[in-house]
Amino acid sequence: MLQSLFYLGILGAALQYFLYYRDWASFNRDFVLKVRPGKCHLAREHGGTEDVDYVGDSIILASAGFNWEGDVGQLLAFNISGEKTQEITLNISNSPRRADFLGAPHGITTWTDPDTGEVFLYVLTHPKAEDRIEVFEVQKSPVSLRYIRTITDPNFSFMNDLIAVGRDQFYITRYNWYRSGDWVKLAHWLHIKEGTIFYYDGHRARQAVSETYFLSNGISVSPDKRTVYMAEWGKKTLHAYRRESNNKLKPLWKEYLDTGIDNINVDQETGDLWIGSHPVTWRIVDFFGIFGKHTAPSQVLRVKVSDGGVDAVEEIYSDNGEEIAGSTAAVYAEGKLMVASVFEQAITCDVEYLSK
Amino acid sequence: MQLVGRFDSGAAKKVHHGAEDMETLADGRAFITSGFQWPLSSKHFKQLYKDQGRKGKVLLFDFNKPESGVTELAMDPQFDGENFHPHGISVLQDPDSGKIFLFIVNHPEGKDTVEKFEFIQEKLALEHIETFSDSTFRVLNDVAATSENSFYVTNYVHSKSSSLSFIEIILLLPWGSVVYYDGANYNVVADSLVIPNGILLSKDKRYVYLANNFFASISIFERDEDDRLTILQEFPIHSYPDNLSLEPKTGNLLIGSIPVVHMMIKHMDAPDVDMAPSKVLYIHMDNATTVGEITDLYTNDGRQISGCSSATIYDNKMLMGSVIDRLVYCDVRTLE
Repeated sequence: MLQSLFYLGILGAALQYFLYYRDWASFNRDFVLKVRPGKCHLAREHGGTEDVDYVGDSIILASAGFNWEGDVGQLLAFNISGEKTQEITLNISNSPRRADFLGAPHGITTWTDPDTGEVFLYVLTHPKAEDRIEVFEVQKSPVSLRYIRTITDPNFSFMNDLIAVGRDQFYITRYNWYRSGDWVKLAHWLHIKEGTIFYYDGHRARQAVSETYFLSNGISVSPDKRTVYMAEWGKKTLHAYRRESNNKLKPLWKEYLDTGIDNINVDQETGDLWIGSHPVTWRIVDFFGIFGKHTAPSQVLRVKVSDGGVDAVEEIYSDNGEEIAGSTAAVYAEGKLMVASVFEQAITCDVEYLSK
Repeated sequence: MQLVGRFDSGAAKKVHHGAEDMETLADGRAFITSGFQWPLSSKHFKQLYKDQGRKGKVLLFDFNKPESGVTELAMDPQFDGENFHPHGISVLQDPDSGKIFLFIVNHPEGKDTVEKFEFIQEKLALEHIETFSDSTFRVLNDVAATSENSFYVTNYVHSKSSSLSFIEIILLLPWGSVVYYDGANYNVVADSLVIPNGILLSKDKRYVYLANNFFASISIFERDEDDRLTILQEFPIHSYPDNLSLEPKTGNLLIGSIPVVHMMIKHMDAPDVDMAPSKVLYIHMDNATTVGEITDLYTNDGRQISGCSSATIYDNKMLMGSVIDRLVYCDVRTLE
């Protein structure tokens, strides 16, 4: 009798887990409707751009060529003025003579010195040896980069994205404990809370929150730099934190968005969050090709926030994967929306209307 | 996605008590049915209907004069206006005489009928011409006129009461059908359908589109010489469709639908308490029988419009109607 109850209990738990997993993987979602803010065109056809950042004067900087092996990628700039977006290969002066410099570039962030107006670019890279953040000074006309220094820390295992809040000061998300590409891929299915947020103060990194997360991904900050937002992609949840005087983060609110949110770009004028996201989980995490040939759909959300939490979630762009596959980031600037995907295309859309 | 965000296509003007179905003429005049109630309505809704002073009406909106808003058309005094609960509508304009005829599904006390009216522009009034009634009519939903004396009409469900029809719907019983009136006789031309809702003729009039309300799909039928319908295909749209309309220049389809259907059931019972999300889909048709892309043109959690049942586009403006909620007028900034 007791044995039957025990087995029944195990079966019940297994069924519950199976259902949780089925919903998480979105196995029941096999079609994504098309949503457009206006006419869209291709800015880049192959190669991917994992993260994008707008630096003014119609220039959007991007990391390109993310891969699992640590192979060298690139840094790009896009000019979104004009009917067709132009891709500019960035000249990098003073770059170090390392064979693995710019291996697998990932999250990026920029910071502008309020006094001098100098713009700095921080790029998270994953060369085989260790995770490194490469720091550059950005020149605008013509747009080019000058390498300044490399930041490393023993805490940087396999990181994802970072947001600068001062000169060489940033919050950075950890994705996984181990750097092996196979572990990272497998971890998407294991649901272990390996992630957390660190604060780098210019010299060393310290954990900024006591919580851990399942695949903590994009991170950004409000225009007044008081609130930090983080996309916990594994749990499809958006988190907001209040920055404390010691730079630790105090959880403010969180909201389940039911879609795989990746990177966040905050509009500096309105405070709106523009999020690149994966609406059908299984189609982006099928790293081992279990489900055969398929494309990953794309989605861009515009999230309006206030101190109390999320005010509105709007879907500005949605695609089944033919126009752009696996969108990871989006940025809204000068009436246009640029959508970036980690492995494939980048597109620019005219935005004909945005609600107040 | 269970969470339905708000997506606003532009400025809007509102009307209450429902705007279940509509059809727009080539000159921009749109006819809209309002004041919906039917045999399947719950007791609570029927009481609310009386308390809120809802009544069956036909409204006129002119896309060329949007500032004038909607006008309630005067009902023929010879017709029982008190017992008039309009539902689906189909509008025909005679190319020679210019006369405008409206075919409207009616749910009076008693059996469901299809009413034919002539629209008198100078008086902004409706003149009742004929009532169509037959034993094949169970619970009617939408009508599609093929000439001044012929039409297709959908039988939504077989059961005529609120409770029995609920069971029929939950079990997805194939007890719906399409009836054709050819000017003399009524014939069932498509049978064993699961809860068919909106019906529409293609631009070339050779095909019939049907909204499968609970299957979240659209069926395309071919009309043969005796107007019988042969199924060609059924394609999924991932939202629960109500009425369809045609964009006259392109032949593309515009569909009013509900993305989360259980919320619609609650909303239909108590609209004063529960909202239902709305979604307008724009279906790019490569030709009358080939579906290209499906664009989500408008989605709302119910705050702006609850239970959207129909939409029509004229010259970059869109009118959206709901079964028992509002009428909303929008700018369309992109049809991508």
